[in-house]
Amino acid sequence: MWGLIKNELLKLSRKSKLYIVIGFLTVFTAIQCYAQYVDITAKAPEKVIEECERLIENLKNATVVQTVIQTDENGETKTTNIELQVTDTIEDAKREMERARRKLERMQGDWRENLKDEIKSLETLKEEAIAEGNVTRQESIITRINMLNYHLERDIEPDEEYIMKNTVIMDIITGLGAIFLAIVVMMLTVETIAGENSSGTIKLLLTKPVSRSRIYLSKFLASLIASLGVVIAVEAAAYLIIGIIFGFGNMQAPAAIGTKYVPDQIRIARYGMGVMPVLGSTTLVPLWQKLIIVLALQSLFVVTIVSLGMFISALVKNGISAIIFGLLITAVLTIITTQVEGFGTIKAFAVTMPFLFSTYSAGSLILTGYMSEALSSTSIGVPLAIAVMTGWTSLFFAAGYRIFTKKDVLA
Amino acid sequence: MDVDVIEVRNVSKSIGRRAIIEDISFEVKEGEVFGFLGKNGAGKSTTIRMMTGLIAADKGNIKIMGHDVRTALTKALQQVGVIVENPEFYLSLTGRENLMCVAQMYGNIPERRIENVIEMIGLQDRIDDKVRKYSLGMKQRLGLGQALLCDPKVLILDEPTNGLDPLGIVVCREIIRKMSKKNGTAVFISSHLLSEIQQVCDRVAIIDNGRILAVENLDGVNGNGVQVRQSLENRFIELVGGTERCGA
Repeated sequence: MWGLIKNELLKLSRKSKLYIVIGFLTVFTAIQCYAQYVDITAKAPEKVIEECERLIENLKNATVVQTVIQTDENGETKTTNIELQVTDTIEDAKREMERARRKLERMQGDWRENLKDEIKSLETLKEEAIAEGNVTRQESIITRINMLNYHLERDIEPDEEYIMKNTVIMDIITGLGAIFLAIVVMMLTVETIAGENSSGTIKLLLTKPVSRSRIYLSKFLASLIASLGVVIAVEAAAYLIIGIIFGFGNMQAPAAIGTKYVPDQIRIARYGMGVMPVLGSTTLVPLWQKLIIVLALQSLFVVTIVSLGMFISALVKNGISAIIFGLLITAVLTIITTQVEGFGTIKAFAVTMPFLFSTYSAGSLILTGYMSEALSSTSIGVPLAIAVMTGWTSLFFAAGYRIFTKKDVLA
Repeated sequence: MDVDVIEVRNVSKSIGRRAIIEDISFEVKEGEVFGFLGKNGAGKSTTIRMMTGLIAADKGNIKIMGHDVRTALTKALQQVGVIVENPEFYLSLTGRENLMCVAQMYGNIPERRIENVIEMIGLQDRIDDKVRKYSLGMKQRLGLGQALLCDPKVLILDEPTNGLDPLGIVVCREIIRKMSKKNGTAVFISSHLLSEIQQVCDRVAIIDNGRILAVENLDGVNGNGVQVRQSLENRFIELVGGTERCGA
């Protein structure tokens, strides 16, 4: 079997699309890294102070004039210019600068004391949220408090929030899963049988003393190895390169996962659907553990797309239609997934999407409860993700396998 | 010499509603060169596709080396070399890599055998070039090489000299003769070229509209080429092309 897989990998290694896919992924990941970098560093206290200073400097001698056109009772229009006060804006900027300065001072002090201070202020916010009756906010504050306590109890110094660290790999994996993963895997898989139909090499393959099931399986495994290899390699490279340039973040730091949801009766009364978190249901695990779960879910998603690609490849007659068909399907699914907040408000989508494999393309969106909230679903979670992806995989695999092993080859 | 290595019994095949093959039977013995002669579209390729498991017969049995292709295809094909229609290759792989891919599928072909085959087909100089750069004749020779890799007991060739230059045709004919006489390989050649069949075959089946019209023995009269050629041509026209020829 390994010999057959090697054959398939050799054929794939000579296709330009492999290198296009790798280049594409690399560029996309680099852009994501840069976006993360800009996002993270923009909130750094030094940056905030700098921004505020510039704002104040610019506004100091400026007058903002607003022109108002009025029509009086005689029907005559009158134009007046009003000079606006910018002192309010300047005051706001000064206050923000002060906050940033305090933050900067705190950064010099003992991190344990800082966390204790932060917990104290969070407790106040929690009281407010309880008074408002906002359960979602309560749960997020509780989780935040638990996280800070986790740091204190285990004596793990938190990474500075405004400095880029390679722990952003989690967000990069999420972005990849949400946007390009399905398309990339589909590209690498969908021609494997249909392409050999077009070139006629399918005859070469099937007139040898190897059963069609072994050929199907070897193509399946080769596509899987190539897809996982490319994706994991790019992610690992990003992890290492960001680590080397910006520093290795602490993978022992806590990450929130597994929030459970129940129907929110108020939202249901108002919008027809809605969920709220179960207070205290969020659990904390070390970041590395979350990363492993995310990578495992990502791998299962890759398996699902490979089996879909194989099914399409066995179904259609030639390589070009396989590519068009495969990319069309993945593009539609990806659009629905990335626009889940919009589609989720439509009942039909909210009900069906939890049973669609594409909903689980990015594991951390499942773990953080993002998908549950977007689709008002109480059942989305790791168990359903595994069940749905395994189910579709079996279906696609069985269908593709049956078509391939039974069909007459007339090409 | 009279072991049947290919047995085709009462085989029929329809595609859609059209009957492509209707109840054909023949057998090929060890060491025999068997011609399968017919016009384009007579059903030659469909028969070869059924013999090699590319398509399933609707009725009847096909056995190769005693194994039914329907139930034991991988055993049946273990020592079979095939070219179906044009030989096909992975164009972005080199000639050698193409041969190695095929060798991999037979499972137990030593490196030395690959070298021997490369020599046999005379591609030593160009074997490490990508097949994309090969001429039609070189591709044809590489195709023959793929079919010879497994040291076949059965060789199934669909229009083998299509695209070969005169020298290539001679080499091809020599290889076929050598395989059948020295190795006892049964060779099944389909063609629409009378001369090709007549020059190498021991027996020939004439197929038209999916039916075998006659199986002729070319043994014994091989001494007089012109006579054999004349008789085969006449026989073919009599069986297949007579109406078209006179009807115009």
